[in-house]
Amino acid sequence: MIDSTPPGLGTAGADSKRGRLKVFLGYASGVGKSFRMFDEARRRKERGQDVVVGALQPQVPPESKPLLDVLEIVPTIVVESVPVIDVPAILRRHPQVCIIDGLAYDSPWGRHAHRWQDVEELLSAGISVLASVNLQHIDDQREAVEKLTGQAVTETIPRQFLDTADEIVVVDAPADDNIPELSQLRQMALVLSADVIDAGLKRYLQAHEIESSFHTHERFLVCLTPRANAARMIASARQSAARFHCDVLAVSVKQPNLSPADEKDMQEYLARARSAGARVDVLEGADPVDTIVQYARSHGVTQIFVGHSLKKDWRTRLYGSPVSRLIRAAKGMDVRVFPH
Amino acid sequence: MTHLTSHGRLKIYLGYAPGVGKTYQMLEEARELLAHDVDLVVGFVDAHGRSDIRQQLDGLHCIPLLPLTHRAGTFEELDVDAILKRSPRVCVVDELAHSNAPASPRQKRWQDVQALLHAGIDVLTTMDVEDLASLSDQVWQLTGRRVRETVPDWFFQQADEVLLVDVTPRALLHRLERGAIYPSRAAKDEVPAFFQEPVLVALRELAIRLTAQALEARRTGRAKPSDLPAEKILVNITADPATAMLLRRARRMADHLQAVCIAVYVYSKEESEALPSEDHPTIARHLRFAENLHIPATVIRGKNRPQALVEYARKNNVTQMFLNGATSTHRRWLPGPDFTERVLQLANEMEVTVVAERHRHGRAASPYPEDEAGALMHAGYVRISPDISVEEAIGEIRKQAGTVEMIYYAYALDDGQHLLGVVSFRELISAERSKKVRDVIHTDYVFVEEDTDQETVARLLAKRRLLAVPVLDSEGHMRGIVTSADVAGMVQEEAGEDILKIGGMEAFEGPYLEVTFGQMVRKRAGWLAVLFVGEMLTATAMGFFSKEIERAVVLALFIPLIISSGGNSGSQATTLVIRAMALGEIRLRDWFRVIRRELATGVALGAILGLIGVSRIMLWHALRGTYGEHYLVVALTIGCSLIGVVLFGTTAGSMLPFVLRRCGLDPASASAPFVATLVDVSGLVIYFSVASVILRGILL
Repeated sequence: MIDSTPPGLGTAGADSKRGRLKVFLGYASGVGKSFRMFDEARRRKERGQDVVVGALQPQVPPESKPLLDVLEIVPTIVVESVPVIDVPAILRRHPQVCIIDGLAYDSPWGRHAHRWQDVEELLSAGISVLASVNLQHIDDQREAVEKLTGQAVTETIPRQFLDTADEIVVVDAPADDNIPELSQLRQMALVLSADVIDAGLKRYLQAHEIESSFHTHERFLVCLTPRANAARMIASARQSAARFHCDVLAVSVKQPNLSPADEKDMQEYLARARSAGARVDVLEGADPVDTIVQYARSHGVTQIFVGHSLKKDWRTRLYGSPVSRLIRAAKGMDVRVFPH
Repeated sequence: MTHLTSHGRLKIYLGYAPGVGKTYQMLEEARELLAHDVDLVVGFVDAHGRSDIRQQLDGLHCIPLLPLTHRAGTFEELDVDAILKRSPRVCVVDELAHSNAPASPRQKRWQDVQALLHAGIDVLTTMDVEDLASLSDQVWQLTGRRVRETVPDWFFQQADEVLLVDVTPRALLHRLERGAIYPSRAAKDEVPAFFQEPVLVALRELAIRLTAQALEARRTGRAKPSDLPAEKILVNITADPATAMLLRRARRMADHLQAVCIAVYVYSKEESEALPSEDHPTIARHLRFAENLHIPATVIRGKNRPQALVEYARKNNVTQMFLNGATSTHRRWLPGPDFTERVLQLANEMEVTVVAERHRHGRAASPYPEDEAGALMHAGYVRISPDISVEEAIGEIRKQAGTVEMIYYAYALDDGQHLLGVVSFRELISAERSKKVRDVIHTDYVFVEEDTDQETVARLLAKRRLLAVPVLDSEGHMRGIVTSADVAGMVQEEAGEDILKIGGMEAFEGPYLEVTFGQMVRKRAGWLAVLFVGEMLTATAMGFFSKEIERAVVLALFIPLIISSGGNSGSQATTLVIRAMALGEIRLRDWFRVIRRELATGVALGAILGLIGVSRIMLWHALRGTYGEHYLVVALTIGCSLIGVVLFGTTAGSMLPFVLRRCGLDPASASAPFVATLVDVSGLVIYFSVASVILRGILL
C-alpha cells in the first residue's frame, strides 16, 4: 500500500505523517493529464484506498466522466463565482487520498489565497494529494510560455512548491510537428519535470549522506579571475547550460592585493554571472586551487571552466601552472580551459 | 530532418527501465492504426510471458520469426526479408537494442530496422534510456551494469518521433512487486539489481532529459542555422584506454552544440612507413570506435606530439580540443611540463577540455564493455540442485551435456540462483553415489564479476589451473561462466611487460616505436649503468688473480668463455622461472623443488659444456699444439670450471626471482643482466679457484 511505505524519495522523508503529493504535469490543455489522474484514482480505489475528489475543472472532458462516476466527490464551494475547495469538509471526511484537478487556481475569498496552500494544509493533515497542473502555471515558466503562446497567464504556483512533490508524472503526448510552439512547450515540460525529479533525488542523497555519483545532469562551475575572459566563459556556460538543461555556478576566490581596477572588473564579472542566472559565490582560502576543487566537489560539479594560465615563470615551469594543478586535483571532473 | 518521401518514419517509445509500459503503449498505437485501416504487421514482440501484452497482440498480424541455427542452439530473429516481401505501411519491432544471433544477416536489430526504413516502411520500436551508446558511461555509474546491447546515437537521432513512456519509479516498483513485470517465477529472481528507487529515479531523469533533447534537436535541426559561430571539436586519440570514454563524451558535446567532431592520433615516428594500426591494436581499436560514432578519425605524423596536435587543430579551425586527463596524473616528479600542459601552453587561443576519468565505487570504468568478463560469458553451464544425490547429478549432467558450453564443472545453485558451490565432473564420478551434492561441492570456489576485466580472469584461470570460472553479479547470483578457452592467449600478451623487465628495462608507457629517443635512453641507461658498475667487480676479481694469470697466460684465453657460459645459463634459468611464476605454475613455496631440479640440470648442462670445451682444446692441440704440454690439465681445469660455473649460474639464476619475490619485489626485475653480472664475478672466482687446485705445482 502506497501510504504505508516507509519514507523514501521525496520531501516528506523526515515527517512520515505528512501526506504524499503527486503532481500530473501537462504541457498544454488536452494532453490527458486529468484522465490519467482520475484513472489512477479509480485504480487506487479498486485496491482499497479511500479516495475522494476535492476539486474538478469547470468542464469535465467526456472520457473522464465514467471514471468520476465511481469516485466520491466533495464539491467545491462557489464564492463570488470562484470555485473554492471545501477544506474543512475534506478534513472532516479525512480520506487517504484527495484528488485536486487544477492546482493553480486562486481563491481570494477562500481559506487561503491560493489553492496550492489548501493542498499544503491537506498534506500536513496527513492526506495524500493527486493534483494536476499545466506548465504555464508554474511561476518560473510563466514568462517563457507567455512569450511562446502570446496568452497572458494570471494564476501560478511557486516552483518551490512543485519541488516538494514526492512524485511528478509528466504526461507526454506527441506534439503536432507543424506547431513548433507546442513541441517547445512539450520540451519545457519535460525539462521542468526532470529538474523536479533531480531536486528530489538530491534531497534523498543528502538525507542519506550519499556522496553523489549520480551524475544525471551536468553542473558547470565558472572560475572568475580578473584576467579571465569572463564574458566568453559565462556565455559559453550559458549556451551549454541551455543545451544540456543544467545548472551554472560561478565563483571567485578572494585575493588579498588586488588593484582597484581589477577589483572593479571582478565585481562586474560577478554581476554579469548573476544576471546570466548563475549562482554566484565568493570563496576564501589560502590556496585558490584547493578552494575551488573543494567547492566544486561539495556542489556536485561535473565541469570546471577556467581561463588559460598566463604566467610563465620558473615556479610554473617547475610545479606546473595553477591550471594544470587544478586539472590534477579535480579528479572526476572535466576541466575546460578558455583562451583570454 | 527532411526525409525522402520514400524513407519510412521511425518512432521510438523510450522508457527508463523494463516494465514502464513501452511495448504496451506501442501496441496500443498499433491497434489504433489498424482500426484506421493502416496496413500494419508485427515483426517482433516478445511477450515475456505477460498476458497483457499477449492480449494486445491479439488480432495483429505477426510475421513469423526467422529460425537460425548456430552451434549454441537455435535462435529466432526478425525476418526482414519476409517483411520486405509483405511490404506493409507500418511494422512493429520491439527491443531496438537487441543484438542478433551470430548467423543473422545483420548484427544488430537497429540495422534490421534501418533496412525496413530504407524500404519505405514506417517502424514503431522501443528502447530504454540505458541502451543509448553515448550514455553507457553514465548508466554504468548509476547502475553498475554495463549495457552490452546499444543503439548508436546517430541512429537514435534519426527518429522522427521520440515518445517518453513514463510511470513514476514508485508505481514501477509496485508493478514489480505484483509480478507484473517479470511474471514467471524463475525470472523474478533475476530482477536486475538496479531496481531500487534512487537508481530508477536517476534513470528516469535521464530518460526525460533525453526526450527533451531529442525534441530540441528536431526543432532546431529544422530551424534556421544557429546564430552562434560554428564549433569544431577535435578529440586526441591516445593509447590510453579512457580514450573510448573521451570519444563518447565528445560525441555528446558535439551533438548538443551541433558541432563538427573529428579525431586524430599523432604518430610520432616519422620515418616509418607502416601505419600504427598495423602494430598497435589499441590505437586501431580506438580509431574504429571513433568511426562507429561517426567521428572521422585521422592519423597524422609528428615528432613532437603536442605541437603536431595543436598545429593540426589550428589548420583545421578547431575551436575545442578534448584531451584525456588521465595522462597528466602521474610522473609529476619529473621536471618539465607533461603532454596536457604542453598542449595548454601551445593552444592558448583554443578551448581545451580535459576530460576526467569517471569512477564508480573507486573503480575506473572499463573502456569497452567487451573487455569485461561479462562479454565472454556463456550462459550454458551445468546447473544442479544441492539436494539431489551424486547419482542423480551425473544423470543431470548427461541430460544437460548437449546444451552447455563445457561439462568439466557442475554448479550447484539454490532456488534464488545463488551459487552455493562447484564440483568437478571427475570429483563427482569418484564420489559416493548416494551422497548429496551439497556434501561434495567446494564452497570456497573462486569467482569473478561481470565487470571484472578479462585480463584478470585470464590470470586467475591460469593461476588456479581452472578450466572455467563462474561469473556472479553483485548479489551473488550466477550469471554464467567464462572458460579458459575464451581467454586463451591473453596471459601471453600480458607477459610482454614482464619480458621488458627481464631485459633490464622498465616497460615503456607507449608502444616501442613511439617512445622518444630521450625516453628510450633514460629508461635503458639507468639499468646499464648499474650493471656496468657491477661488472667492474670482475676487474677487481681479476686483479686478485693477476699473479695466476701472469704465470699461466693460457688461463686468460678462456675467461670470456667461462663467464659467458655462466651468464647464459643464469639468464636462461631466470627467464624460465619468471615465466613459470607469471603463469602461476610455481609459487614461493616451490623453491626447494626448483633448486633440486636446477642443481641436477646445472651439473648436466655444465658437463655437456665442459665436454665440448675439453674436446675443443684437445682438437686444437692435436691440430696446432696451441696449449703447450700441459694441455690435458688445462682441459680438465676448463671442464671442471664449466661444471662449477654453470651449476652456480642455474642455481643463482633460478633462485634470484624467489629471493626478490620474498622481499616483496617484482621478480621480473630479477632481470637477466643482473644475474649475468652476479655470475660473471663469481664465475671468475670459481674458475681461478679450480685452476689453482688443479694446476698447483704444474703451471702455478
